[in-house]
Amino acid sequence: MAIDTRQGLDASTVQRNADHEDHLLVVRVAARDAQAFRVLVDRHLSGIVTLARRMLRDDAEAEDVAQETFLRLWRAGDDLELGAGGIRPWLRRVASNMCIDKIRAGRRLDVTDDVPEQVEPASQLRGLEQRELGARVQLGLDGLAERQRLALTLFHYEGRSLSEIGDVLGVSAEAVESLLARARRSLKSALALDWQALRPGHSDDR
Amino acid sequence: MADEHTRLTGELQALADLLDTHGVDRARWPVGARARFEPLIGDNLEAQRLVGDAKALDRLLAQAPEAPARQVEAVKSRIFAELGAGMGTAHAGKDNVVAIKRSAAKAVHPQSVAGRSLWREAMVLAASLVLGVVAGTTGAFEAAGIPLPGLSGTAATDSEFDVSETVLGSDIASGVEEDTL
Repeated sequence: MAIDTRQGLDASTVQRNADHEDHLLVVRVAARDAQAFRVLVDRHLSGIVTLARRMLRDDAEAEDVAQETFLRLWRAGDDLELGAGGIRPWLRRVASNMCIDKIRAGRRLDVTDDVPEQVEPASQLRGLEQRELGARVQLGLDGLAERQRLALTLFHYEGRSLSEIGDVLGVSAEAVESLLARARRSLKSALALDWQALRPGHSDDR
Repeated sequence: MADEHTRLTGELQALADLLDTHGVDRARWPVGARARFEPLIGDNLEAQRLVGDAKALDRLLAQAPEAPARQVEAVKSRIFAELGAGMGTAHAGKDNVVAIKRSAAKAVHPQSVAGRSLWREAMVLAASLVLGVVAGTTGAFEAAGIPLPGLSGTAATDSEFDVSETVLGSDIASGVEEDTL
């Protein structure tokens, strides 16, 4: 437990330092510092592309969203208003809102059961088994109904609150709860063998 | 006893619903849910099993792959390709502002300095010319006993006397004559 606590503190310190560095970079970007902008892109682009892929389930559109998100950052210049959270939540909020806009534009509206795209491995260092597991998880996520997937992505991966998700999706917080519950139950059913294999040890979580 | 069983069953179902919605991270549970269910989780094996299952699903969700590196690099290239001109323009624009300011300062300052120099010289020459004309026409030099070599007769009648030539030099006087002509 002591080790966990130390690791938690270290992670917190690292995160604070990263946030502070990000803040300084944003100030430089506001002054049109191209090098600072490149550093921010290096730091955050992967997460934004991943978010857009999860929300849109379309590589080309996800790339468009990610690109536009960073273009807006650059073009905002002095007018950029990040809010208290800093650049990371700003980028993710802009990207997720654009994803929602694209979905609302009418390309697809609800449940889809298309064959999922081929999922790439997250890292070359991951083993084949882990890559296959990741691919199955992606397949399961892609198989969710649109709103369920969006709700789960925003809640589980993005840390958005129920009310925030409700605002994004245009539904009540209670409706978001329902979407989340249905999403997780669908995944538990679709990926039963996988999550059961990941059940905690007989004693470590009790 | 039956009531207790019914209550327990209801609480377990409520816990299952909570976990299905919010996952296992208790920090994200609604206010009050933690206080409500923690005793149950601490005491009840079925509750612990539900938490374990939810934790397994969260672990599974964490296995979802991130965007492939080549895709990220492709987007990065597109961003900088898109901004290539824009960033250059922005920088050039910014630099140009500075450059314009600097160049404007350079343009104005040298001209103003040159202008002031010419003005001073012109004033000196004009003053000398006036003094010379006055002295020559009033005979001030002769009255003061100052010999003027090369002058004969009165200045007014001597066609060779040229005050401007004395003061400004022959070249300038020639110029003045040319302008007059």
